[in-house]
Order: sequence, then structure tokens, then C-alpha cells
Amino acid sequence: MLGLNLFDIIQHILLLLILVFFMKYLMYNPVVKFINKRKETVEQTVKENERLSAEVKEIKENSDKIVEEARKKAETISFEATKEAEARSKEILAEAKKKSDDMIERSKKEIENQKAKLQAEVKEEVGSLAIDIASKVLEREVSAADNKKVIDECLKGWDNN
Amino acid sequence: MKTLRVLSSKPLSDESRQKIENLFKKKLGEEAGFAYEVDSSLLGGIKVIDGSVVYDGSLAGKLEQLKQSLK
Repeated sequence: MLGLNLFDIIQHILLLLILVFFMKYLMYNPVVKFINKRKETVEQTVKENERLSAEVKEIKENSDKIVEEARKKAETISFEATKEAEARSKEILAEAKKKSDDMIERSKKEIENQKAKLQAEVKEEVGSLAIDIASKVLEREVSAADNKKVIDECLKGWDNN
Repeated sequence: MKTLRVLSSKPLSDESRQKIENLFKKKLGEEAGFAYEVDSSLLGGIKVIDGSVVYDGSLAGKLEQLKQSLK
């Protein structure tokens, strides 16, 4: 005989059942609960990460869009500014040229006026000198016959008026 | 009767005087007296002065006119 009796077996089985019961409720269930809770936390964290990643992606896309818009705007402003500067530069050059042309024209006119004035002065001086010389010559050279001729012509002229 | 002054560069001959007197009597339409003077600055010809009216037929006057025209 093995020395086993029914009472021992049943006792062992009952002890085993009690052990299993306690093991389930004191260890297995809390562990499972803990594992599930942990799993839940991990899942939440993963979801949160995914949400944050999506948010970051969206922010990055928006940021890139804003940067692109700013770059295009800067390009446009630069182009406009360059065009305006070129136009203004042309305007200033045209104005300067006109002023320069006007000055040249005024100078030419001034020179012409001075020339005409000088010519008139020279003409007057020369004429005056010629007349003075003529006076000196006439003082000496007018004969009685010439004088009579002058007087007769003069009287003829007065008679006709 | 008014008197006209007649200036000449040299003394005038009787013929010239007569011509002058006939002309001015005709011009004035009346008798007038004539006072003859010599003024060598006239250079030649005559100048007749009737009050404020001057008839300048002198060479000096012509030269002066020429001088003025050049101005």
C-alpha cells in the first residue's frame, strides 16, 4: 500500500483549492488588474502621443505655409521697391537733364544778349568816333561853295515841307 | 513883328540871305525880322530859330542826328 488515505487526499485537494482561491483573489486578480491598468495607461499615452504628433505636424505645416507666404510677400515688396526706385531714378535723371538743358539755354541766350549788346556798343563807339573824325574834317574842309550848296539844299527841303 | 535868329558857320552872302528871308516870310505868312549870327560850331549849313521852334539845317545837327541813330 502507498500510505495514502482518502482524508489526506481530500485535505490536500481542499488546501489546493483554498490556495488557488487565495492565489486568484490575492495575487492573480490584482496583477491582472494592474496589468490592465498599465495597458490602459500605455494605450492612453500612445493615443496622446499620436494626437500630439498630429498637432505638431499641423503646426509645422501651418508654420511652413506662413513662412512661404512671408517669403512671397517679401519678394513682392522687394520687386515693387526696386521698380519704384528705378522709376524715381529715371525721374530724377530726367529732371536733372531738363534743368541742365534749361541752364544751357539760358546761358546761350545770355551770351547772345551780351554779344548783341557788345556789338551795339562797338557800333555806337565806332560810329561816334567816325562822326567826331568827320566833324574835325568838316571844320577844316567845308568851302564857301560847299557851304552854299548845303544851305540851298536845306532851304529846298524846308520849302517842300 | 517877330525876329528870327539865323545862325551860320560862315557869314552868308546876300543871295543866301534873300533866299532865307523869302522862304520864311512865305512860311510864316507875315513879315519878320532876321538877325544873322556866325557860329563856327555849326560846321556848315544854317540854323533858324523862331522862338521855341528851331529849324536845324547845319552839318553839326546832321552829324548829331547820325550819332543818335547809332544808339
